[in-house]
Amino acid sequence: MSQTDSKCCCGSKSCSSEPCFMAKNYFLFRRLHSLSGIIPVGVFCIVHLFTNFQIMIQQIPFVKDLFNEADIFQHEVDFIHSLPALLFIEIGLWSAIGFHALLGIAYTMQWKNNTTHYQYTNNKRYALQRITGIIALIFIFVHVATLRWRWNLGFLNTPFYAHGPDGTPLVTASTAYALQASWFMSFFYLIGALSVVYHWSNGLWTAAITWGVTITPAAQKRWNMVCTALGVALAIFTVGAVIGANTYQIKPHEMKALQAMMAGAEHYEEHAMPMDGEECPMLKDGKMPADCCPTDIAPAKEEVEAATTQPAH
Amino acid sequence: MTASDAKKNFYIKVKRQDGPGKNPYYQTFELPYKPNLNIISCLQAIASNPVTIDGKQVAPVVWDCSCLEEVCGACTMVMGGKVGQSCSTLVDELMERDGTGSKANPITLEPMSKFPVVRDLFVDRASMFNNLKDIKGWVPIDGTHHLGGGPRESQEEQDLRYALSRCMTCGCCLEACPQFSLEGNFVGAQVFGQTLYFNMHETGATLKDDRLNVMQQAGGISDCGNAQNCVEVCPKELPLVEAIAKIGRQTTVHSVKQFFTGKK
Ligand code: HEM
Ligand code: SF4
Ligand code: SF4
Ligand code: FES
Repeated sequence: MSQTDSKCCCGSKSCSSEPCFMAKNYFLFRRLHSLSGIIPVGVFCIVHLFTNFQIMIQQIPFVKDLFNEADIFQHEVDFIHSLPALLFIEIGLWSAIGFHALLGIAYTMQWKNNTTHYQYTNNKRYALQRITGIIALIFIFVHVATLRWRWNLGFLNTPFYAHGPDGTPLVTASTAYALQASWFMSFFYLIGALSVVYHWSNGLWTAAITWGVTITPAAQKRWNMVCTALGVALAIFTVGAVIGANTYQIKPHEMKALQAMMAGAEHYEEHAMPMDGEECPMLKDGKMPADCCPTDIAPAKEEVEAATTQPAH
Repeated sequence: MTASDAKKNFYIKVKRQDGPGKNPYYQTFELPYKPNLNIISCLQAIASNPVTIDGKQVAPVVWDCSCLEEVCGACTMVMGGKVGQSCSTLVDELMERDGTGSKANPITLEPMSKFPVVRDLFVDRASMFNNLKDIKGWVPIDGTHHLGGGPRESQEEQDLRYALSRCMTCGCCLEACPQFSLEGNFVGAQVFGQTLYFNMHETGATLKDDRLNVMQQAGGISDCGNAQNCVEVCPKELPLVEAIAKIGRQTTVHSVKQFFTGKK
């Protein structure tokens, strides 16, 4: 317990007698953990949840009329995909989440739960912060693995495609497809995303104490109201997105395009943005889509047909 | 309590341990009810007649106490699952709070779980005093020469420092803290309160960097998870959350300074 007794951050006295890199920079790591939760990961989550909210917004007739874009969600995702150095942004986010989650798990292991005897609100919030962190970890993994990386988890095969083989916009349709896969998916997304929302807004509140921004209980109370308001707004976005994804009716041509992509036409996707015939999309294997450049390097018509008539999963 | 209740007996279940490292076990005792009994007087009654409800003659229960007026912190233990001072905790309070006292549902007394047990309800609180040494919890004045009048302190600062000075090193804040464990190296709120207390003192502040170096280490301020149980249970009502936030700020500033000046 005494600072001089144990050298290592893991609390173990059996660790090497020399303080390790982690122990020497303990405070820095802890502050970086806090920072990584608030800024890269947190700010991304706000933008992401707000973007998702459009899936519902764009279905409300009078709101829809305010915008000259019929598929706002598609437009926003296309914008994100068009960002330069998207790969770097993604790598940055992954490092931040990975760092935050890894240390988060280590910190969660220091937790000695005592909420039965000490039922104070803040003790429950502290417990929830840890529980929602673990849920967030599972959720974010499954979410990204199935949609972004298009892993087929066996029981779940809901890859996300921004466009079909012929450029059909698929952002809204494939999101709807993922959430409509079963009632459990909508439930999973609700619990998962709401956990992230709670975790971030409560984290924002504790971070202000951690960094010594809100010192007095009165200041903490005021900041708590701000964090609560933020949390409620994000929760509305989340619930809205889940509702929107469930009420969206996937149109037959979208379903066909989605199925084509799922059946292996995904090579088309990278380049198959609707380009008004200006540019001919090139496939990864060097071929051109059949309907684009009718040359001998295009895949056989039957190949495309076979891909597009694959039954729904 | 009505007159008929007054004649009733009540039951206390004590967690016992014959010595450090020995296996703990529970024993239940029956005591005559009197209004306004505190827990220490129950323990005194048990000591004068250490017979369990099974009629077994046992060694008297060991506990620690000194001031008997909630200023020394020695008698701290876990009563009905919650930490507090056994000198100032009344049987009536516990009966009302937990609905305990009956034979089936007795009042439980346990030693604090975050300190090594010496015997029965008596724990060794040395870790807290060692931590005070680590943070140099004193005001350095060398020599016997006259130092002149002290610096002026604002009323606001005096109020905060007075509140921080009330700490009696009882350990309640550590016992209730979900981040604090017997095995781990987290120092807990008591140390944060005292670090701020001495850092705020004009002369004490000469050792501020040394204290913040300790605060930077594993087990220091950054291990606090802001559950704020400490402030809820502190019997002396120390502004512990304020102390935690202030030490958090001081340590951050200290680290940034170290980064840019290279000073240790
Ligand atoms: C992926 C799994 C995650 C795990 C296991 C995790 C775990 C944790 C834990 C245990 C804490 C408390 C640290 C402490 O109080 O000392 C925490 C704090 C925090 N987390 Fe996470 N987290 C995860 C994901 C996220 C995500 C996705 C966000 C952003 C939306 C986030 C934002 C925050 C913030 C802002 C804090 C507050 C930091 C502070 O109080 O200084 N975390 N996280
Ligand atoms: S801060 Fe309060 S609870 Fe903690 S040791 Fe001091 S008096 Fe006890
Ligand atoms: S705020 Fe919570 S984690 Fe921090 S010292 Fe107090 S009880 Fe422990
Ligand atoms: S005996 Fe001193 S606080 Fe109880």
